[in-house]
Amino acid sequence: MGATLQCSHCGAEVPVEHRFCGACGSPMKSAEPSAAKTEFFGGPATAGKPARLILIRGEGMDGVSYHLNANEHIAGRKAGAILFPEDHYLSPRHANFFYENGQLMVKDEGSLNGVFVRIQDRAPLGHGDVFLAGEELLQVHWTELASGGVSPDHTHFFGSPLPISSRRITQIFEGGRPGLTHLVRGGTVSIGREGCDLDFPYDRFISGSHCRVEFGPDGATLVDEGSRNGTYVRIQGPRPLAHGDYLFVGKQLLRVEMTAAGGAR
Amino acid sequence: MIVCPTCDRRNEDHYKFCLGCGTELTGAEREAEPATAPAAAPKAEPASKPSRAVPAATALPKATPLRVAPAIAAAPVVVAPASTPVAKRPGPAPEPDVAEPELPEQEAPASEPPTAAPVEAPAAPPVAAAALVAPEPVALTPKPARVVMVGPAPEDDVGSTQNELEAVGEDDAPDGSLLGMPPPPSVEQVSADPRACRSCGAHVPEGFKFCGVCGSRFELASVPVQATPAVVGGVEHRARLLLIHPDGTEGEAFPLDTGETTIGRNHALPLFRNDAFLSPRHATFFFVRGQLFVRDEGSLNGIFLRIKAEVELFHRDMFRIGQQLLRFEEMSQVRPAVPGAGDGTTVLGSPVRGAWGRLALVVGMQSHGSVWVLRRPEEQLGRERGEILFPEDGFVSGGHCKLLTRDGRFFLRDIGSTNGSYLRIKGEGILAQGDLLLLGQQLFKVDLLS
Repeated sequence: MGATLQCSHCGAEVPVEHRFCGACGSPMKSAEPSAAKTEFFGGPATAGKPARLILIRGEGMDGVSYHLNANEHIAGRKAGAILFPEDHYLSPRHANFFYENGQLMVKDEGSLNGVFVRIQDRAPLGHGDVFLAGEELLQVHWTELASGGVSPDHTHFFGSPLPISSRRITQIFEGGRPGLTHLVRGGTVSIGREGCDLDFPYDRFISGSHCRVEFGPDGATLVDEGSRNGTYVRIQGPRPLAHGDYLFVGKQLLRVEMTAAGGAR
Repeated sequence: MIVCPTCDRRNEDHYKFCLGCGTELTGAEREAEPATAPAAAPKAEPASKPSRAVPAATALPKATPLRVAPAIAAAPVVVAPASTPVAKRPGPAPEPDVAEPELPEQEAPASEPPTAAPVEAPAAPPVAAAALVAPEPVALTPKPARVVMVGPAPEDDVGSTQNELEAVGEDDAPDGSLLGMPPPPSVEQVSADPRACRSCGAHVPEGFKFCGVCGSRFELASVPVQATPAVVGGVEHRARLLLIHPDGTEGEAFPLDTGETTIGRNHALPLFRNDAFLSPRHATFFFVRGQLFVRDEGSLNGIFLRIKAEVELFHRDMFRIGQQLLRFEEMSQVRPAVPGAGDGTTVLGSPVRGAWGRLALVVGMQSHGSVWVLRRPEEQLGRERGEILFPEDGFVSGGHCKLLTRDGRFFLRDIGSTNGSYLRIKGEGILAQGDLLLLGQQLFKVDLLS
């Protein structure tokens, strides 16, 4: 790939000799290429650049690699260098792989379904955070459940007894419908295919004992139980990526390879 | 309160097992507290759960160390003839007809003398039975304007991606006519002119369907009532509601006459007036061609009728087993909690895998606890046996009821539970001899006098 500039309007990679952005049509500030060139081609920023993404599981393109040679790389269904036009779980413009001080980062570009990164061992979870275990998309909540209630005419609501805990795991179905809600007893909930607090016996991709969520006074922690397919957390904000990291964008499973460490396959 | 000897958790008096650790509670750990009042004079306990507020439990049939039992738990197994209709199940509740002009509510003068209704009002629609003869003086509290929720009322747990709040749906509407019911009739009206407009009092000539003065729909059915004003001493009781005590015995009888009888917190009887779980106007009992009906007046907590064998379930139907309030949701009608982006992207999520419904444990007016996904053709609910378990609810039978799907329809079947399964009546329901009704925190048995 030749030298590129980043469109100041949409962020797309535009070859330096082009006067207009091919993605959004904005005019390129070609008058000052020198400053941009300094940023793109010189200096230590290039040191960590030679990374690539390997498509592990996708739509018939397994093994395809995407070299991350530019400064930013948009992944999406309609725009960007990393294009998956057939995956309708991807937003048109979904994620951005970019370098910051030589460190490869990934950022959600405001996509509908988010970017999921496999946790190494354990990862903190915030209220409302979403994670993926097998094929199950789960969300964690712990705000107090409001019991009862009084209507404007001062009638009291006759509900079920309040559950022992407000800590809960909810499931999101494909299409966005809510699935189950599991109230967590005690401080930990184990999740897997069988024999766990929360079982998904139908899920072929979830391990027998896949992961667990530990609740503490200040939040929760997601712990992978050595599952075969891993546990993935939807990222919030930019996140650094390291060699060997796995991530989902849409249904595409990608692995990060740093050229220096991993070499060419 | 029973303090668990194992984990020190405080449990409700009627719990058999500790909520914290599951230890069986013998009752010996119970904290001293004043004796509960007799059932005939229930104390108004506005804050806590009704099941805890129901006073005076004695021995239950199961002889567990229960002291305060919810009314539902004490229901004796009364099985009416199988041929009697369980309830009118008109299918999914129709949306409120916004276009239908509504009769303005009319307040009757408080000095109005009671008027007896004729014994039979053939062909008269129930809403038009215009005379109310209550066995007790009815508190004629001016009723505030009804809050009628129209338009796209939130129905499911839509909205935030966090899926936190259940929107107040049709069943939860605090005081809304969401069940497609007509506005409540002004039951106290008496007029010398049988063809007087119920709204403005103007005379409506024969053959006219609407009042020429104000445009209100003219209610023909009020004619026979006004034609025979005040059958002196003619109060005829056609049925009774028998209060069922928590021990299963029958308590006081509340007579229902041939007119309409509305009960609720506005009623003069302490039994109703002090029940914080009854809406001011909660339920109306009335006869049509000798058949007793009950109509939900848009109450907050509804009217629950004990089912016999099997009933059909529709989206967002509510039912009770033991102390649990549950809501059935048909999966195809559940609204997404995560809205789409409108750019052709499909919302990511777990595969639905043939799930046909959800069952939500309703905790508050706008919140739910556990939610179960219904996937098998039959899903059993129980305390010990089944797919959906309530191990802490001593009023749920080991195997209590089943949720089923057949041919794209959905059913609730009681499988011989001790305390029964109660389905919330939508709009109106037919009542048969021996039917059991949950109203507020009390359980009543229908006794038809014939």
